[in-house]
Order: sequence, then structure tokens, then C-alpha cells
Amino acid sequence: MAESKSLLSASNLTKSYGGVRALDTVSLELNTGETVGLLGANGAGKSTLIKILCGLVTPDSGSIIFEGRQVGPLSPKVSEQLGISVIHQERHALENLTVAENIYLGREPKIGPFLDNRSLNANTQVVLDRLRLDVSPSTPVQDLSNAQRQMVEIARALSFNAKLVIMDEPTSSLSETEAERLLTIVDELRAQGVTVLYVSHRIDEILRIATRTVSLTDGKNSGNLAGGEMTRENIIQSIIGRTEAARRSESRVAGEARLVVSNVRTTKYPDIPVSFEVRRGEVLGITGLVGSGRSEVARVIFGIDRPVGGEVTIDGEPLSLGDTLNTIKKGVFLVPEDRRNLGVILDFSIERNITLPSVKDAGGPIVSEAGSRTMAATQIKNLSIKCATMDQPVSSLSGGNQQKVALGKWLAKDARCLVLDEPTCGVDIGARGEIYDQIDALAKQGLAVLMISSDTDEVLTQCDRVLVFSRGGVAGELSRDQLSKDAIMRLAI
Amino acid sequence: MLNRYRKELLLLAVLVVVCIFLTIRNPQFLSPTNLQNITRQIGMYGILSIGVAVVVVTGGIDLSVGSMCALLGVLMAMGLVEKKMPPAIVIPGILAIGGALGWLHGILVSRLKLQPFIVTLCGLLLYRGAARFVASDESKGFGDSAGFEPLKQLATGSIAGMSTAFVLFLIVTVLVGVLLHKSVLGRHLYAVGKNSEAARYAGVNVLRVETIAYVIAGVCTGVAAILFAFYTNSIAPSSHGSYYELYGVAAVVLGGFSLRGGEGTVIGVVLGVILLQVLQNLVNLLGVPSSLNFAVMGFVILIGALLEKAFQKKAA
Repeated sequence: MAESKSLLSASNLTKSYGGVRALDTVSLELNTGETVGLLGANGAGKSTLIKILCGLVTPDSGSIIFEGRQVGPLSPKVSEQLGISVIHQERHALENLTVAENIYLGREPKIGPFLDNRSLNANTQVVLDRLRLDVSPSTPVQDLSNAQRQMVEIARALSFNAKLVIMDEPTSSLSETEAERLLTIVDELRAQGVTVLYVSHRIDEILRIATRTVSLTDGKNSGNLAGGEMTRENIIQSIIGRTEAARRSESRVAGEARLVVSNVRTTKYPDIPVSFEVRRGEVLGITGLVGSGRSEVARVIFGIDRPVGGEVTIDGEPLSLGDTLNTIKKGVFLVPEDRRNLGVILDFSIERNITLPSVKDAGGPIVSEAGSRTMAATQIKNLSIKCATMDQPVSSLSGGNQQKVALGKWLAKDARCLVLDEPTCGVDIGARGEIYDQIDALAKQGLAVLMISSDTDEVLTQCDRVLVFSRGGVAGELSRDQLSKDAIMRLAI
Repeated sequence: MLNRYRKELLLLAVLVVVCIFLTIRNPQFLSPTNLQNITRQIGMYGILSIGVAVVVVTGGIDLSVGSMCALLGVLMAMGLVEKKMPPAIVIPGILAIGGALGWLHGILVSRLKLQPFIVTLCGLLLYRGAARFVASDESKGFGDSAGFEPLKQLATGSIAGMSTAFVLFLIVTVLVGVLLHKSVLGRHLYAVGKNSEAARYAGVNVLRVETIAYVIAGVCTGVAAILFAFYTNSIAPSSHGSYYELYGVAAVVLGGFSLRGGEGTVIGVVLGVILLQVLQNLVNLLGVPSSLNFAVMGFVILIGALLEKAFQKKAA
């Protein structure tokens, strides 16, 4: 069978950062033309493994054989020449350039010193056709949707004649239909003999496209699954080493309305008024396709955007819309979707991030060093943030722990309503559970929690009531016993 | 700890080496007169640079400080000498004008979202023109300082063997040090410099914090302008304070601040100022052609930047 031909064989890869072993004698076998799912909690070593394969990180020890030949130290350039392409979680496309210019960035075809735009676009068209991608090579990337941008990245990988394409959480920012399209393309890549290493927390996707799975736990191989062994339960088992029951918290008791949104019309959907309320002690879910106007409403509540019309009140007091400082003063907090750019300050220490919204609350102009360290320590313990010290930069934490910091900075203050926009996007299963526990505890303390999520499982298991958004408005409300994937999809589309 | 102050320690090491080298080549370096003189320069440029540093922490820049020195100097001389106004009014007035101009920069940068480089570049041109205009392009001086001798002592006198300007600089350093490293505002300044959007999402009043940074720079410039004016005793509006903005930015950069914002310590900028002034002194004491003055400065800053990168790589 041609498929069993070994493409890459990495053995005993070890890499330490400081005293921490990120990878410990990890092995990875990839054959030509197969799609392998790489799984692991955040911090399990997936990113390090990927970085080694694409030459960004040099392993302390271990060897890599590619197409039967031992390869020396990899650099991004060498790795690219071998035919290894990585599609990163954060896409790096240059927005003002066209699709073609992005794909051939740095190796543009030239006639003498001049750009050869005709061949540039023609070459690009060939690659786009291979992916059956319906965009013009001369479209500026800024005009594309998230999903299309992702496809452009894949097209770029193919243009290098990549033999191995590594995809790092490719669907984390895509809607379900967009994600479906991406998965179809992964299938096509396999049909064309390209090997895909697919990294994702979304087990459904792995089950759908992968031929095998490789799991990592704490920097070590923790199980390879293939064929019939590849079940949801086995996969979860291999990542966390323990079975986790479907989590559906016992019902909470909702009290009177706390956050009331009345006839809010956002600038994106100025003709569609949105009204709803979040009660004391409940977790209200808002779901719907990407672009259905969910995040816009969150931004209005938090005072980032001024609405075209409408009103929001908390415990009867009106919020001064468009004024974030006022909103925060009233105890309404947002954990934004874009964690790395808005949720935390990556270069700041954990302590500084957690205390940032509350340092001024002590009253005096001077920061109480002891007070803020205690505050940070409390949240680190409370949320089990995994770190060596509270002085390490948040950028050194895994995604899940970064999210806990983004949440923790509000827990240090008196909250009345917490708005969570995609609270577990890119967060591993372990940290996810801890965040859910925290949300549950907060609701029980009487907070009104608004959870915006694209993850249907999350909405089903964590929310007391769900609003489904579609085209800017509330398409319907589902009570706890009406909740099902099917019901949500019907309303969303 | 060592790692945290890596830049500062590196700078200190360079400073010590330069000082030892200079002492060996010309023992005059340690003479009381020379030390008195060099600390005075450090004091004046230092106060100016610290103001610039606060703005740089927020990711901004202040190019207007040199011209502002000229304008404020001219106004002060005219107020004291020509209008015979009492120092108790003129001095607070000068500081207030400095602060007000800083506030204007701050408003333009924060509320109107103009780029700091452009705003303060316009300031550089505007204040120079204003200084020349109000002074009718004539030098304004204090003559024998009749009536405000104690004030002149600020720039030229000394306290306990230390030049007064240097003592003032130490006071400003402590104040700004506490502000940057111990205060709530300081944390907000660094947060805004690192990522102003995330700071806004965390409830930092970004507009206010940015504005305050420019006001602080304006007031520091006011203090420095008073010292410089008395030091030169005669202010030529077309040339007084020329390039001072670059001394300020140079000291800040040399001190380990990133022009992207969010980085740097008061100790760093102090060391940066001292090193720059010692280098000036080196040029004089070693008989290097004074035309090479700026070239030496540029060369050292470049070496500093290269060393910093090299160490950064090693640490990573």
C-alpha cells in the first residue's frame, strides 16, 4: 500500500525551557497521504512539537528522518524546502496585499527588476483551482472572510509543493459551515497525497477527518489511536488520562432580572432591535453563526461601541452606553473573545494583569505591593492558574491559563454581571472544566452571566437558557428542556 | 532580579568602563570643577529626559522639548527683566505654560488620535517660531540678575558640594520613579504603552493616562527650561535648546526604553543621561575635535543597541 510509505519519523524529541520539560522523548510517525490528528491539553507540548517540525525551535535531543533521510538542524527555510508547511493559529496574512501577493510573498515572479503580475495571478489561480477555492487572485485579503483567509494560507502551503501540512487549530475562529468547508479541503489534500497533521481540541473534527490520532500529555506520548479504537471516549481518555462524564450542572435558581437590554440596535444591524434580560444567578447563553451579531451586542453592553439606539440597565440603573469606565464602575465586565490582544496584556506579568482593573480601587495613588500580590495569589489559587511565579509574563502561559488570567482580573472586583465572549476558544479540556466550575460558582453567588459561544456542546451543557442569534437579531429562545443541537441549528440558519 | 535589570546593569558597566578609561587618560575628569560642571549638565538634561521618558513609556514621543525650552526661556527672561514681574509669579507661570502645552499635546494625541511624532514635531516648529517672534528674534538675557539672584542659584549654585541642578534632578527622579514604579498611574502608563486596547478593556482611562504623560513631560520641560535659561544667561531664540529633544530621546533609548512603549525604568534613563554627558565630557577632555560630538553619541547609542540585542539573544 502506497499510503504506508513513511514520510516523517521523529524520535525521542526532547526540549526544555528553563527548567521545564516541554517535550520528553516524544516520537511521531507520519506516512504519506494520511491525516493524523494531534491532540493534547494546552501545555501538553503540541506547540513545541510543531515549532520543532517547522524549524522555529531546535530540540535538545532526538532525531528527525524525512523521506528516509536524516535531517540536520531544521530552520524555517530548510523545513519549507523539505516540504513542511504550517498553518498557524494566528494567521499572518498581510491584509492590504492581494491573495496572489500573499501566496507568493517573498518569491514573486519577476521580469527583470519588475513584478510579473500576469504570471503571479496565473500561478495563484492554479493553486486556488486545486483547492476549488472561488476567489480571485487579485482580491485584497482584507475583503475575505476568516474562512477564506484560512484557505489562502492553505493555498500558500500548496504553492510550496508542501508534502506535510500542519494545521494548528484551524477552525477555532470559523463558523460551523466555514469549518465544514475547511474539513472538506483537508479531505481533498489527502486525496492528492498530501500528509496533514491536524491539531485541534475539537474531537468531532478529528473523528471526522483523521485516519489516526497521536496524543500528548505533559510533554510525553500518551497514546496513538487508529481505526476502531478512535472513539470520542478513548480520545478524551488519552488526553487527560481519566474519563470525564458529560458535565451538566444541576439546575440553578434564577432570580430577578439584573441586566436588561432593551431595543439595542448596533451599528452593524441598525434596523434590528435586540432585547433580552439576564437574571440573577443564571447563565444565559447566546449562540448563533459567526457574524450573527452576538459580539456586537456584547461590545455595546460593555461600552466599547455606542449603539444606534436602545438602553441597557443593571439592577435598574441605566448604563451610560459607549463609556466602558462607567460600565465597569457599575460592575458589568467583559471577557473578550480576542484574548491575546484584548483580554490580557501578554508582556505583562500575571500579577499585573490580574490587578490591572482593581489597583485603583484601594483609593490611594500608591500601589500596595503586598495587597496586589495577595490579590493575584488569591486568583491564581482560585482558578488554578498553572505558573511558576506570578511575575512571569502571561505570554509564557498556555491558552487556557491565559484565559483564566483574563477572567481572574474581574473576579478580583465586585461583579454584578459578567459577559463572556467565547470563554473557552482554544482552551484545553482540563482548563475548560475549571473555567466552567468558576462560572457555575459565580452564578450561584448571584451574578448574571452572559455566555456567548459558538461551541454548541458548551452552550448545551453550561447554560440555563439560550438565545439563538441570526442575522443580527434574536431568532429564538430555548429553555433548558428545549435545548438540543438540532433546535439550535434550526434557529441559527 | 539580575535578569530584570539586565539593561540597567549593562549600561552601568559601560558607564564605569568609560569613566575609568577617561580617568586614566585625563585625571582632570575627577577634578572638583569638572565634576561640578558635569553634574550640572546631567541635572539639566536629566530633568528634560525624564519627562520625555514618561511619554515614551506610553508609546509616544516628545520632539518639542528643545523648542519649548527656547520659548519658555524667552518668556521668563522677558517677564523677569523687561516686565519686572516678581519671580513668585513668573516661575509658576512658566511651569504652568509648560504643563498646558503638554496637555495640548496630550489631547491631540489621545482624543484626536493624532500621531505623537506629528503632534510634537509641529510643536518643535511652532514653539521655535513663537520664541523668535515674541523676542523679535533678539537674544533675551538676565544681565546681572538684579532682584532674582537666589533664582539664578538654581542653575549655577550648589548645595553641599553638589550643583543645585543635580539636586533638583535627584528630586525629580525620585518623584517620577515613585510615579512610574510604585503608583497606580504608573501601572496604567505601562499598560497603555504595552497594549492600549487591552488596557481600555481592563478599565484603564486610556485618554486620561496618555494626556497626563504629556503634561508631566511639559512640566519637566518647564523646570529644565528655567535651569537652562539661567545657565546660559542669554537666550538666543533661534538656537537656544536646539537638538535638546534629541538628547532627551537619546538618553531614554540608551536607558533601555522601547519606542514602542511599555518598557524602561527610571534608573535606566538616569544612567542614559549620565553616560551621554560623560561622553560629551570625554570629547572635551580628550581633545577629540568637537565637531565629532554628535558622532560619538550616535556611535555609542548604536553600540548599546547592538549589545542589548546580543544579550537578548543569549538570554532567549
